[in-house]
Amino acid sequence: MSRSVNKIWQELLERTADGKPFDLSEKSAIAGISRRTFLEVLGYSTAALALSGCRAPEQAIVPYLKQPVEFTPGVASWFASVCGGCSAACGTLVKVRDGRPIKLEGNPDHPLSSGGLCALAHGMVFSLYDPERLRQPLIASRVATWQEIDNEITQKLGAVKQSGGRIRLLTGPITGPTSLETFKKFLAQFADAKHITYQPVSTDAIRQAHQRSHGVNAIPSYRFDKARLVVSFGADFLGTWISPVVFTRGYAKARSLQNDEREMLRHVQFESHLSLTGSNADTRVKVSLREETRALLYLAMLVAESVASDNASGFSSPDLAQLTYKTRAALELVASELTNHPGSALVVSGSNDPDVQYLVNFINHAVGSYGNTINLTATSADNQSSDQEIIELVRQMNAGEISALIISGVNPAYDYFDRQAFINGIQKVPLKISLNSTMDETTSLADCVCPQSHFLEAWNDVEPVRGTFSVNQPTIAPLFQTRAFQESLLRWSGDGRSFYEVIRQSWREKLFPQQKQYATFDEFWDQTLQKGVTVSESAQSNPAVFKSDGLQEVTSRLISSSRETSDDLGLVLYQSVALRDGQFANSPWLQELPDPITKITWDNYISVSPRYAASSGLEEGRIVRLSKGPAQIELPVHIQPGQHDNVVAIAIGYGRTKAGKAGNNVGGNAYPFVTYDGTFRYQAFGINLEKTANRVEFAQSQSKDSMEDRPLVKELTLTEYTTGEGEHHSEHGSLWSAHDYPEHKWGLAVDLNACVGCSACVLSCQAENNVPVVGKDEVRRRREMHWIRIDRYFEGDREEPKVFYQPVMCQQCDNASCESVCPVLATVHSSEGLNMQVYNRCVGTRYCENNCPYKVRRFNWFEYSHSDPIANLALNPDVTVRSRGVMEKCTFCVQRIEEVKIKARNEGRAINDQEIQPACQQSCPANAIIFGDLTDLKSRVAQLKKSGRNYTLLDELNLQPALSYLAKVRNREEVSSLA
Amino acid sequence: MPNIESAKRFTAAFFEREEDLIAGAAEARLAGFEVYDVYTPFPVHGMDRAVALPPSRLTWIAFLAGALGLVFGLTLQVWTSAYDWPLNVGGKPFNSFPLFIPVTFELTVLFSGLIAIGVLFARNRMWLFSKRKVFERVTDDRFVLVLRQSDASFDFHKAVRLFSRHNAIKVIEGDQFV
Amino acid sequence: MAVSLRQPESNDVRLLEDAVTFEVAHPVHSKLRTPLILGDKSYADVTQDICKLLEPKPGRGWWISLGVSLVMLAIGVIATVHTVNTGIGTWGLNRTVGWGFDITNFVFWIGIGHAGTFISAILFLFNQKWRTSVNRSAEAMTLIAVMCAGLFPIIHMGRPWLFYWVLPYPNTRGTLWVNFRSPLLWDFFAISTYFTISAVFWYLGLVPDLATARDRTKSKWRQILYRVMSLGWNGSNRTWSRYETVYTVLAALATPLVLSVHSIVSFDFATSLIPGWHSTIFPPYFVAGAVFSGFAMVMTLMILVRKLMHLEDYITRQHLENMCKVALLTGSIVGLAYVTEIFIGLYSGNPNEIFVIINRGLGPYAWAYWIMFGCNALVSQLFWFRRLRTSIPAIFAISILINVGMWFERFVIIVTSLHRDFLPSSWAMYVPSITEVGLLVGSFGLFFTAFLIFLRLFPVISINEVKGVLKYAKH
Repeated sequence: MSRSVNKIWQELLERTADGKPFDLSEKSAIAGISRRTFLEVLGYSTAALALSGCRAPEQAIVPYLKQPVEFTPGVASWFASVCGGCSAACGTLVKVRDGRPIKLEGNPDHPLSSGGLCALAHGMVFSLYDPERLRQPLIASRVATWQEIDNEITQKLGAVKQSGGRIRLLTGPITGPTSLETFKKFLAQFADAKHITYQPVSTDAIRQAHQRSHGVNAIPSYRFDKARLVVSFGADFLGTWISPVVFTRGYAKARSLQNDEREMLRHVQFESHLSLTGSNADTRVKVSLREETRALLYLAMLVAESVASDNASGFSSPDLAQLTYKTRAALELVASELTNHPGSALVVSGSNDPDVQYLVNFINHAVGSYGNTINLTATSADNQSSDQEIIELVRQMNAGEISALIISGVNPAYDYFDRQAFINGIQKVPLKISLNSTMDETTSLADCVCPQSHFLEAWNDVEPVRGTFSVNQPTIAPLFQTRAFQESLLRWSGDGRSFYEVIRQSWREKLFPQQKQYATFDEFWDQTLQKGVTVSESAQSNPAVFKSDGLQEVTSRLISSSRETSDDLGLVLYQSVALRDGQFANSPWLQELPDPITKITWDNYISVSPRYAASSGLEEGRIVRLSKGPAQIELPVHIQPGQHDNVVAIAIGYGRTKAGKAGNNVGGNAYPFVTYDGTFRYQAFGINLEKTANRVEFAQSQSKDSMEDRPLVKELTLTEYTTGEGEHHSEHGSLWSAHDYPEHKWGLAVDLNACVGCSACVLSCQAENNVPVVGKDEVRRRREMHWIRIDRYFEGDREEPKVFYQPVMCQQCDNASCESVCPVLATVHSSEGLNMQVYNRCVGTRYCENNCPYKVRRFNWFEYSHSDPIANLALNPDVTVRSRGVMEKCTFCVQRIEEVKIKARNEGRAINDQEIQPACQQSCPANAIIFGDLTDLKSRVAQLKKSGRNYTLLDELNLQPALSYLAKVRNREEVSSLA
Repeated sequence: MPNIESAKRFTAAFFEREEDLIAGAAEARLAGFEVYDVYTPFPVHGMDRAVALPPSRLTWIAFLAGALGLVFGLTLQVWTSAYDWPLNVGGKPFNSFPLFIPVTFELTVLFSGLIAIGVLFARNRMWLFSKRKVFERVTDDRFVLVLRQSDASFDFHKAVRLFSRHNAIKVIEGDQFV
Repeated sequence: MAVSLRQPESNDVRLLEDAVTFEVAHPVHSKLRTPLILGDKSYADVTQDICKLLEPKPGRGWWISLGVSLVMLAIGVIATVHTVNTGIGTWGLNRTVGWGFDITNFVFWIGIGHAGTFISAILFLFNQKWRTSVNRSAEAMTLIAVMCAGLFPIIHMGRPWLFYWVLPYPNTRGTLWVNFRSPLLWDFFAISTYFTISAVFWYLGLVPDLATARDRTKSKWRQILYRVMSLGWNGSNRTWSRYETVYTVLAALATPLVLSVHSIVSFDFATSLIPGWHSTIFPPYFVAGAVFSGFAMVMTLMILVRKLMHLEDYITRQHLENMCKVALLTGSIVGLAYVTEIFIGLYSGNPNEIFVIINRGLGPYAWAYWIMFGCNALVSQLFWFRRLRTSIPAIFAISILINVGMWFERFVIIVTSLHRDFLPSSWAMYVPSITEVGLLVGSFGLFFTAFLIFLRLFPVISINEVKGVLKYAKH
């Protein structure tokens, strides 16, 4: 391979000698897209890959922690950057091996995400190497050069300028100050121009409510870490709501018992369908959609009375008869708890109804959350425009009032609630430019396509929360003929500079003066790039006061709207933890990630409660047709314990038609059920549901829900924990003396109290260890390959189950039952206590798999395809790609252990605790996984294993696992220990 | 007989019933004839006694072979797993003696069996391309008693008479068998 | 024969009056005992009867059965090629159930392979004369069954082309030895030893008969074959006496070997920790089961053989009845083992053990469990009735049921234990793929093909041993 590549490479270098980036489309432009040129393009694009593997980006980029800038072959460099997966923009460290970014990890120095990442973020590496990405600009689906397309567009835009026609720039939430400047600069050229941001999953209500209640048009930042009591009304803040990683970090911090804390945050959840967050609640109250609102009203009333606030008068009580006794009892308890936690309580709601959010604000105000657990100054900076604006845009398009539309990073043709209206509308727009990076539903409607570079290929800056600035560094030169969308806009506003220069300039002008730490700008800039983030000490604006006017009308509106009507089956639309809004549906990693709650992969479905299923004769996998007016969808039924009988739930983000090979036609598109009423609403009523004759089998990674009364996940109440009840220590005798581990003895502790089941570790592991994706059918056959899985159990009443999560990977037993049965010594124990799997010695008898009580070994049933030259760039060179017929499993990321050992040896020092972090630990947002050396008694893991909560799984087998679990603690009384 | 060049001449008597063979063989031996060998379609019990054939020593060979197998098997396992390349397998001791018993046993049996057979074939000079003569119908239903005419004193007629008494159906004389 | 002959003179064979009669030790033969071999045969008849089976062109029945067997074999070959080309993924296994049909067939065939050596060795040591009519074909069956069995551990590997890595040979990978602690390795040694010793044993018994055949056959190639294989056997008494010594030694070796082989196969399960596998009664339980299934298969075959080749005089009802008695005994032991398993499981107080027992009897694979229980523990009890013991059709039907039952026994042990073990999160179902069924069919194809060829190539009944016991039919 290498020789031929070098040949092409040299050729390319000659051609790029003039310094201009090599332009592959010259040829294709001449000959149009003939088969021959197509092949050339193909050839060159692969060549471009080989090339990109060998060259650093043009501009000077600065690696994390004073490492040499140049790449040492075989040695990974880390670059601080930010994740572009969603607007939360968590801080990341990008692992670059031989010029290729191969993994995203959390940036521990980042003030918000502080080292955590979500599942989606790990999928981003795949989206960089997604073979479906557009590889050059297109004019009317004909390959063009940037030259051509820029001329074309500037000329057309010129026409718009002349006619003074309406131009609209439609993007996703943009938080980058420099990007926003660029937009302004660009739009300034036109008479009637506007930047509209559009989020398929909107949180606009929160902004509007705060506008009303505090006069602040923004989403505040919620400080779960400061809260002692969290009451959530259907907000999935651990899974998908606003900034899940940051919230999970705070939540886990406030609940942590890892340093022998005696108390922890208490979490009460009122929700209609079982969400990741609800499944972690100490008390979860199941309510119907309308009941949720009534419950909130009642709570507001109780709080208002108990804090004797002057607003109490404003309340007319909701119809209590329509609250179940259970709910009322819970609410009254919660109300008293809230008033006992002044300043340390936090109430949140997932609703996108401004009235509801306003009421939430009131309660938070009454219990003194503002200024404590809610910060109105460091507000989230995204999504400047309200839902109403895109509605207006679509109307104008259909009325033919828009003369140019530029789309970047959004896909309304798929996820706009009234898709058809948008599609009809955009066809009436004379100039449609798409800057999206794939030929998605919307882009395929555009006449000019200027594919933007992936965020790992481009410069950018972001400000996810006011005052917190990060620079997004490119870690690889663009793989294809793509360009950052800001750069395109710069070109079209006649600005020749690269976006890199623009960012530097604006930082020099704006941010540099705000800080005093660094004398020169370059120093400041380099430091920021190294740390990945800078926080500007912006003046604290005086705290806004709560405006209680309008409380009256809000409550009365809510009371009337929330009145129960007969047979009202509610539909709730939610985001799945893996796919979110569906933008990255083409990532097989995300598609194959089992849903934390249902463990179903490669599909969405209609969740119904067990009782509802029984009453309407539905069984698991039965396909039903759900319809409301024109909107209609056919999906299989999933029977979900813990869901309210009056509610069916569907995940949005599925049913893409132009996502690509992996994402097309997986599940159904539920966006059409979204309604608009001032803001987008993700609930619907008056739906009807009819059975069809068909049935499908889900591709599920776990089908057994119950623990079968086996003490697998142990649980304590807070009192049991603090009083030390339910502790147990087991002693095992042995016939012979154990082997000793002279240097190290690697061990790992999983804190089940911290783990929320978000599944980020699963994908982190998949990316780190080149774990293959097997596809829907193979998952159906129970052959998924994940090295770490999250076992999920429902215990107790199926209507109101208790949910448990348990990450299970290889337990690295000292008396490993897998080792003694292997006939060829393909799996043996290392002198550091690792259970090693020798791939090239394995003959594949699968005896070890049978004899492993944890069933964590994975067999290569086929030669899993690594044929795609582009997707292969994501492979980690430190980890063997396993061939067909061999067994594989978790190794505690032995490659990382060795890396650090070598480093330490070279520097002639001992290995520090927490210096080695397996992939699963590194980016766990909840700090639930702690790895370390058990021979070092001061190491965190050794300390944790001394805890009273510590136990090993299947202890009775005396396998002496190096991995142990820390029992879960629920902050409520009636829980009785399973231990 | 005069012109009989003795030493390597033989007399063979054919019988139909093993009783006659045994009787004939025994009497011939007592009568001072040298019984060279007896050929039968199946092992005739009492034959060895009749011709005073000492019991075979192959049993001992088989035993020793077994012992060899046992030692070899045990050594191989202990040496490879505890000395040549010790590996920690499932936390068990490097020399997990009890776990070595099955293979040791099998090797014992294997050595014993194969070596015994090998010696048997060697001792009987049985091999793939052996061209040994076989008496007519001796693999079917004939029993043949062969005397060696060790010296001139051999009285052929005496032999014939003796055999006839035991219902020999045929007596022949000749040389260079076997 | 290059023996210079001289016609005996007329007077040489004369005057037999004063015959000295010797007391010769005659083999004991009672008049009470029913003859082992019917039809008052002479030695010549025996030779004739058995050798003539080899000579004529094979009949229609033989060709048809061979055709069918070859088709089955072909199916097996296709399935194997598909598996080796594409991967074990072509089977129904998953991350929870790592063994299915593959090891089930393996244990099944090994079990079948136990009757032969049991008959030839153990019955020999106990001096059971009736064995002589059946031991030859029973041993042949053993060898073929062990071949069938031996294939599966190789095919079931993820990388079968590396199967030789289980050999402890000095190699270039830095003295990388094998794991003598692994029951799979014990299997490898046990089975190869078992096969070798059985083969040698069988061949040794065959040599004198080959000589017989050699001295009769007219066909050229048969003559060459038999001449080479009979190693110049000439029936010398010295040879015979050594021969018998070694034969006894081998019998003495083979006896513990038979017991060891299936004990070791049972270790595959007994030494692991999966509930339903981890059980101390497995060795005796497996050995009994093996002999049980082996005798069932021998009966099935013998009934066919004696019909197909008209050997009613040699393989008599008495032979079959004796075998029925063995089957009855071993079947009862197996039944006892089942009950013991249930009792111990429920008595253990270990939730996992209790669960396995309940899951077997009432879980998703309960049907398999009850087929197993019915066909083995219950059906074999029918042999208490003399009428059934002596009715050929009854024996045939029952023996087939037992074979089915014993296959399911292995299926139940393997699959029902694996599919629901310690962590409910990993519970899964196993559904065999068409490829696996193909492999099972193929193994039967191989079995019958080889057996049919054996019937045509070698004396089906040990001629010399039958002659040895012929006296039991005389007078």
